[in-house]
Amino acid sequence: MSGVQEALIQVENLHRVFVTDEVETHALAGIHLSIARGEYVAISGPSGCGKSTLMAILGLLDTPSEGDYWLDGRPVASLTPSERARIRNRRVGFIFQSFNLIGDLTVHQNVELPLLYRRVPSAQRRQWVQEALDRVGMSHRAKHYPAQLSGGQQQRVAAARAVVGRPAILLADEPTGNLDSNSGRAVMDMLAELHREGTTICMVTHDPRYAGYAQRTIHLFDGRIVDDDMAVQKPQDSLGGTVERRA
Amino acid sequence: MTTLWQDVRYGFRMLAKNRGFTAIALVTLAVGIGANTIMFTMSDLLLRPPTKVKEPEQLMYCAIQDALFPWFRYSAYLTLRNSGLVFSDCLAQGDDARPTTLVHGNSVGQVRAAYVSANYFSFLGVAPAQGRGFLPAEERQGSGPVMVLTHRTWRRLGADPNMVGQFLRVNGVSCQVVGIAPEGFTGATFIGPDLWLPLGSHLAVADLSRGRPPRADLGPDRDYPSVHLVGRLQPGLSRSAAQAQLQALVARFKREYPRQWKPNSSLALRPPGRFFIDADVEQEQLSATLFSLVLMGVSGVILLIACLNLANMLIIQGAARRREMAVRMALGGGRWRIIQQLLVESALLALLGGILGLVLAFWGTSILRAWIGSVQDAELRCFRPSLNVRVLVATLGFCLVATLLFGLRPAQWLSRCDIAGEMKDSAGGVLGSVRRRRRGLSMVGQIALAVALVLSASLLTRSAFQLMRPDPRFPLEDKLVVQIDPLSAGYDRVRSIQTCEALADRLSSLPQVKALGTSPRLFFGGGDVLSISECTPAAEDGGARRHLARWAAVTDVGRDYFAALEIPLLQGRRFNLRDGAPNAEKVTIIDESLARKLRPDGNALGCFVQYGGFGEYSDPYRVVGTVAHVPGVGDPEVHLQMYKPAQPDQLSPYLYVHVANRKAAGMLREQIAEEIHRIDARVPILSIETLARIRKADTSIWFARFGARLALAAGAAALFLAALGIYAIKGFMVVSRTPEIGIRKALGATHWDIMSMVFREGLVLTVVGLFFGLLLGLGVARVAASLLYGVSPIDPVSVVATVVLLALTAVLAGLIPARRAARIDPMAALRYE
Repeated sequence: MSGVQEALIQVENLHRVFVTDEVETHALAGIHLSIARGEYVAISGPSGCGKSTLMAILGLLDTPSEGDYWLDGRPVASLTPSERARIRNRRVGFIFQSFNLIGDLTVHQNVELPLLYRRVPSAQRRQWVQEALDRVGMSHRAKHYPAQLSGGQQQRVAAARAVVGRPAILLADEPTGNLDSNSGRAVMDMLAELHREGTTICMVTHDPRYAGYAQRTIHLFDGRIVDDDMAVQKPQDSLGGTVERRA
Repeated sequence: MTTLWQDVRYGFRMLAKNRGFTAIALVTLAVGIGANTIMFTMSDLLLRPPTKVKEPEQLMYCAIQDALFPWFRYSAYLTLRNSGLVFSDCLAQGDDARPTTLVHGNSVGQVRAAYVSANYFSFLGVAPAQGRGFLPAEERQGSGPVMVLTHRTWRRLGADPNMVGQFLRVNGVSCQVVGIAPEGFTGATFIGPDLWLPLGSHLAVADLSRGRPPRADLGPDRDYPSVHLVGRLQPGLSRSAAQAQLQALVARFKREYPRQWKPNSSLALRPPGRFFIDADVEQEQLSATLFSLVLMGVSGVILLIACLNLANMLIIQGAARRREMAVRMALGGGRWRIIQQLLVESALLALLGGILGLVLAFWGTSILRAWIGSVQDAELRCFRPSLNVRVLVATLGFCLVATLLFGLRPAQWLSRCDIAGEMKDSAGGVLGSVRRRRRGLSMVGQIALAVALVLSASLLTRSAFQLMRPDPRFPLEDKLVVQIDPLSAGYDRVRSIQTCEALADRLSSLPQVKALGTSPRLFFGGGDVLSISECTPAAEDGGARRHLARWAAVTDVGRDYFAALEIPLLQGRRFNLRDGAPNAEKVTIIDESLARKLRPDGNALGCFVQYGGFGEYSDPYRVVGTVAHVPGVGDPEVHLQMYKPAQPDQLSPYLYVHVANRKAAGMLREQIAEEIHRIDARVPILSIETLARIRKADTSIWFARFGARLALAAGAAALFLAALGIYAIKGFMVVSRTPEIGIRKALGATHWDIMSMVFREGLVLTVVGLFFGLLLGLGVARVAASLLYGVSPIDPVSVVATVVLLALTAVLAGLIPARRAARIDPMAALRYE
C-alpha cells in the first residue's frame, strides 16, 4: 500500500451505476487509477464514456456505487456530507466547462467565495484573492461582474476561484469547451503555468490538442480505462507543439 | 374563437402540468378573491336598499324641523293623509324604544315592536307570506289586538305552519297573529322590528299593560303613539314642489300643536334613512360608504398581496418558459398572440381561484351571519350577509382585476424575449436568477402591506380586549341580575309590584345572597340623554340653574342597591326607607364625577341638582351622598351619574343579587328560577345573568369584538398570503438557482452555509418590509385613532407582537425552501445546468 500512500489520488475498482426507469447505465465499470502529487493528467474519451462522472467522484461531488477512493491517503467513503464539503473546499479546486460564475457577484466576490466558506479572515481573504487574480491576470477586472467579461476572461476568473484556496488538486472539466481557439489556448497556457507552479491538475477533455498539454493522458471508453499514456511535453507551445510519448 | 379555445385547452394542460404552482396560485387567489367577495357582501348589505319594498326610491320621509320633538301626533298624520296634498299615499310608523315581552307557550323573550298604520304592507307593496296585513278597522283604538310577525321571529318561535290565527301574549296582552311577513322583509328600513301591530293596539299593548295611563293632555291623540310619516309623492310632483306645498299645513300644525311646534318649525321631505327611518339619509349614506370603503380597501390590499405573489410566481415560472416563447415567436407567433395566450392562462387561474374564493366567501358569510346572530341587539340581527347575483358579478369583476394585476406584466415580459438569444444553447457561463431586484421589491411590498394589516388587527384586538375588560374596582362575576316581567303575566301594576317585592324578600333571605338591590331598569354604568343642572331649591319657579352636563344617567334604586353592586360610598349616607316615602324630601346620591362638577373639592353634600330632557326639568334633589363613578361600557367619556330612591308605587323588575360565592352563581341562578316559580309560576323570567355576561353581550363590546374579528381575519389572510408568497418566491428562487447552489456546494459550502444564505436574503427583505409596514400601519392607526379604546395608536405591545409574528412567519415560510436548497445534490445541480 506504499504506492497508495504516496499518491494524491488513488482509486481502485471504481464503479458508478445510474438507475433510471428500470434502466441501468454503467457510467464507470472498474476504474483503477493513481495520480501523484504535482502530476498533470488529462482524461479523454468520447461522449458518454464516463469522463465527467469520474471527475465528479474525484471531486467528491458524487459517490461511487462500488470501489475505493483515497484522497491524499485518506479513504473518502465514510465521510459525512459536511466533511466532504470541507475537503472540497480545502483540497479540491474546480473549473467547469461553462465557467459557472455567479452573476450577482463581482469577480472579486466570485473568487472569494471558497474562502468565505472556509471562514478565512477578511484581510487574508483579500490577499489570497488578489494573488489568485494576479496569477490569472484578472486583477484589473476585480470589480466587474461576470456578464461584463469575455468567455476567456470568465474562465480565467473561474480558474482563479479554483486555485484561490490553494487546493491539492485542480479538477478541470472541459475547461475550453465553450471557448474559441484563442481563448482556449490562453486558458490551457494558464493551466500549464499553474502546473509549473506545483498544482496537481486533472483535466477532462475530448480534444487531443489540449490533452497534449498534460504529462499523462488517460483514455476512457465505456467506463473503463483503455489507455494510460505518460507523455513528456517538450516545449510549452501547445497547439501544434512537439509531444514526445514516454510510454 | 378556435384560437381562444386552443389557448384555453393549452392553459388547462399547463395548470395540470405544474400542479405545485397551480395549487399555490389557486389558494392565493381564493384567499384574495374570497376576502373581496366577503367584504363586498358586507358593503352590498350596507349600501343596497331594503329588500322586498316596491319602488323604494319613491319613498319620501316627512320630517318636522326645529320642533320640540320630531314626531307627528296621530291626528296630524290623519290631517296630512286626508289633505290629498303631496302624497298619493302615506304610512305612519311609531316605534316603541322599550323592549316588548313576547310569550309563546314556554318561550319568553324580549322583542322590538313597531306600531304601524293599517296600510303599512300595501303601501310598501309587500304581501305577507302567510295570512294578511292589517285592516283599516284595526288601526282604530279599541279593536282587538292583532299582529304580523317577521319571518325571522316566526322561525325563532318554531316556524309553526299554523301560526296564523294563534294568540301570543305581547306585554301580557293576548294578540292574534294575522300574518307572517315574507323572508327578508324588514319594513321601510333595513333595520326592522320583530313584529308589527296596528296603531290602535298601542294603548293596550304598550301603555296600559306597562301601567302607563294615557296622557290626558294629548286629547284624542292620547290613545296613539307619536309616529313617523313616509309617503309616495303624487305622480309628476317633484320633491321641491311637494315640499313647498306642504308648508300650507305648517301654520295649521303650529296652531293645533303649540307645545310641540315652535314659530320657526317647518316640514321637509327627504328619502327615509336606510337603517333608521328618521335618520339623515345622506349622513347614513356617507357613513355606510366610508365603512364600505374601509372594508373594500382592506380586502383590496389582500387582493393586491395575492396578485403581487402571483405576478412574482409567474415571472419566475416564466423564466423557465422563455425558451418556449422564443420557439413560438420563431414559428411566427406575434407578440399580442403570446400575450393573449398568457392572459388566457392567467384568466383561467383567476376564474378557478374565483370559484374557490366563492366557496370561501360562502363559508365566510356563514360565519359572519353566526357572529351577527350572536348580537344582543335585535336590530343588528337584521343584517344577514348572503351571496347574491350582485356578489357573483362582483366576484367575476375581481377575477378580471386579478388577471390584469398578476397576468399582464409577466405576459408583457415574456412576449419581449430575445428570440435568437433564447434559441441558442443555454450554456452561458453566468448563473443568475431572474429579475431578483424586482421580485425583492415586490416581496418587500407585500410584507409591508401584511405588516400594516396585522398591526391594525393587533391594535383593534387589543382595543377590544381593553373594552371587554371590566373595571377591576367593580367585580361583575358575582353579581346576578334577575329580570322578570309580572306585567306580562297580565297582572296590574299593584300586583306586579307586590310580586317583585315578595321575590326580593325571598331572595334576600337566601344564605348565598350577600345583598340585594332593585331598580326599574338595567344599569351598569354609562350615560343617557338627560341633562343635569345645579339649581337652587326654588329653581322650578325660575330660580338660577347652572347647566352641568348634557349626557347623564339618572337611576332609581331600591333596597341595598349600592351594597349589592359594591359601589363604595365616598361621602354622606345611603338611602333609607324614609327617602322613598311619598311626601319625603327629594334626595339624591351622586357619583364622584358629578360631585366634582358641583364642587371642585368633591364635597357636594347639600347641593341641589335637577335632571331633564326636551325642555322639562325635574324637581330639585338634595345631595345626601357621594358614591364611586361606575364606568360605562366602551365609552371613554365620563358621564355624570345620579341615583334617586325608588318610590313605593314604582315597579322595579330588575333585582341585583350580590352572590356570596362567585362559584355558586350558576347554582344560584337555578335556585332563583325555582323560587320565582314557587312564588308565582305565571311570572315570565326574562333573564338571570351575571353582570359580567350582560356586559360582555353589550352592543359596543360586540361591535369592538366584531371589528377585531374582521381585522384579525384580514390580518390572518394577509399574513397567510405573505407566508405563501415568501414560501413560493423562495421556493422558486431556489429552483431557479439550483445550478448556483450546486456550484456553491462544489466550492465547499455546507448545508448550513446554503440555509443561512437563503435565510439571509429573506431576512433583509423581511426587515425592510417590516420597517415600511410599521410606518404604514402606524400612519393608518394614527388616522383611525378614534376607533381605538384604551390603546395608543403607537402601542408598543402591538408593534412588538406584529414584528414577532411577521418574523416568525418569514422564518417558517423560508424554512422549507432553505432546507430544500441545502439538500440540493451538487452533482445533480451541475447536470441541471
